[in-house]
Amino acid sequence: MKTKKNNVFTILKKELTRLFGDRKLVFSGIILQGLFIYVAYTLMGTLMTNMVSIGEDYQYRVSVVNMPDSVSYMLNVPELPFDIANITAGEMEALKEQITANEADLLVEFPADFDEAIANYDTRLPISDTPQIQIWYNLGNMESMQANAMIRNLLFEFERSMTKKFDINALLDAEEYDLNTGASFDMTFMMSLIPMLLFMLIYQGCMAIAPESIAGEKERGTLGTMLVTPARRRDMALAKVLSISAFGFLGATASFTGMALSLPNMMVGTDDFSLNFSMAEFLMIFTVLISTVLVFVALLSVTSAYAKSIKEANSYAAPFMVVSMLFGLSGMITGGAVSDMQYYFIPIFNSAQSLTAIFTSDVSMLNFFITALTNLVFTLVLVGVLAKMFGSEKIVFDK
Amino acid sequence: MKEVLSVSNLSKTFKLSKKQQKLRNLHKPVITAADNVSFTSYEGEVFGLLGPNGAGKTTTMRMLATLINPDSGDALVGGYSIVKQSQQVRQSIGFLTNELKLDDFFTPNYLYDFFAELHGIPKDKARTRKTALFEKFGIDKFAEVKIANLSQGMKQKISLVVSIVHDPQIIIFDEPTNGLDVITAKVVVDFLVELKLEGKSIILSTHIFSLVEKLCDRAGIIIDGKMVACAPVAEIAGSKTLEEAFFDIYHQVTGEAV
Repeated sequence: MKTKKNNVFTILKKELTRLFGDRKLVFSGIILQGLFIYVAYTLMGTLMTNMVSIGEDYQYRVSVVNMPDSVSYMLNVPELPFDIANITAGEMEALKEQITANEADLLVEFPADFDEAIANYDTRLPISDTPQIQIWYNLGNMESMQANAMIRNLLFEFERSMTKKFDINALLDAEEYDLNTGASFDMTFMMSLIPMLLFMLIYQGCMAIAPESIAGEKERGTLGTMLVTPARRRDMALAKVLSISAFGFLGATASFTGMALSLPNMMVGTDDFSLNFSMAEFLMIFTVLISTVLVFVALLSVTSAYAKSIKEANSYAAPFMVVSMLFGLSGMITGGAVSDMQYYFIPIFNSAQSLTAIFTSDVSMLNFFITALTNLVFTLVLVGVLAKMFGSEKIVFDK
Repeated sequence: MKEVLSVSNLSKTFKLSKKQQKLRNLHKPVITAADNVSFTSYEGEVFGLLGPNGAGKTTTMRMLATLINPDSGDALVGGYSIVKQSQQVRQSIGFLTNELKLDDFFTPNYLYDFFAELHGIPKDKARTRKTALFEKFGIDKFAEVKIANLSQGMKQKISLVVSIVHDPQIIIFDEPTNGLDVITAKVVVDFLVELKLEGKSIILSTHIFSLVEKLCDRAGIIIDGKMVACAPVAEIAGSKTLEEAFFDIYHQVTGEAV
């Protein structure tokens, strides 16, 4: 009797037709994933930007009582974004009400004899005799907060200029004093977050199809129909895992693209944030992502085969998602990627560490290869387990 | 006559959960679904497996189709061991049961081609056979309609056709007319007659006595997992109808009056 040697391709073709032939599934599992992330992150970023940013042409409405000549000279520079109004002490209460109502930004009150007082100031005098400047502001108003900070800075600079005895880092541009060649601490922190976000998206994408594809087939009785053919269980298991992985990977790619495009909009307050990678880094990222998708799909496939229904499969899958997300955060916990080789033999954890390493330009090729290989071997072991499960009556017929 | 199926002491037990034990009102956590079942079927013969629900017919059929492994014993199907040569067994048989369904997403055309490919049938041969079978069962008009949109009867016809894409010599049908409307049931029975006339060997599990009387050359009666009778149908029936003979045997074995 001649039996066909390999049916992986035949089953894979059918599974892919099943998955990609379902337009709703393609839309919700791939296109919508990327689109949703892009729209949601961009929207969040835009909202946050609108909340915290002030227009470039904005003129801060600052009222000053007893404006000293020395300060007037400093504040009335055309480049400074201040609309200065000199008012009398009698107008202060009305001005405070305007600040409360966001109709004015700041009120600065100088002592009447400010210039004379600072000229005669003796550091041995008690603090009560120190010339006092009072500033009223509104912390509920971004413009008021900003004006307060700017005026304070100017006044501190003014005070320092009077007693100037030394300078710090005044000879070069500030960036030239920073000797860091890699990512900044802030950037490392943010890049360590990305694996968790990616894992969450990938896992959700795989979770949307793996239980349906395996537990669903069991539930509907269509898996048994294939089991009575000469196709080997191993071929079925491999074809299932590969087809779900292909779909899951496209979902992950869409999510990654959506995230990469929207993250710069999301990261308010971080200058020059972007995900710019070299071709080699891109290849490494995709290799790690593919191997992670394979591990996720293999795990979900085994739990789905064990489950009696899609509902049960989803409930088994949830704890693994939490573990995966925790692993995804590992780069943040360890303050960047760890360098010890042994950690890269732990599936999923190794993916998180490798991604963090690539994102922060701290990648070790050896650890990268261990990650890819470990995940592949782990997937193949799980495919073997799945094949065994397909041969077990308890798994296939226990409904 | 040449043996096509030789079943030797097939046994199968299932562990029961506490809930299942309670539902079945059993004290033991194990149920014996097949208990040293042995029988032989010959080339060109239709062998009927009779028994009440839960007697072990389906378990025996599933073991013969290599869907489940026996705890002990073996069977040679077309000369291949169900324990050691399961892939060859599956290549040799056509298996149809109501429990196995077709994926709603696909069309009959696609599914036929898919199963033919799994069986390694050359495309030309598969196409010729598909045309003939689709025409015979009236599937040709619905060849490109998704299974989800077809009637129950049409789905069963497609299941039947798909189970024999590879033109097997041995056909195992587990309750093939269960849940079918009378028209579709007749189509299935007529087809079984045709297969018999073509010289195919058929193992048929059913609890419909008339079907056994009409189709089967020999029959086996399974009660509580044991093969309690195995002989030509006429011999089992004797001077009575098969139904009367069955209930006599059932009473003798279980002590329960029916």
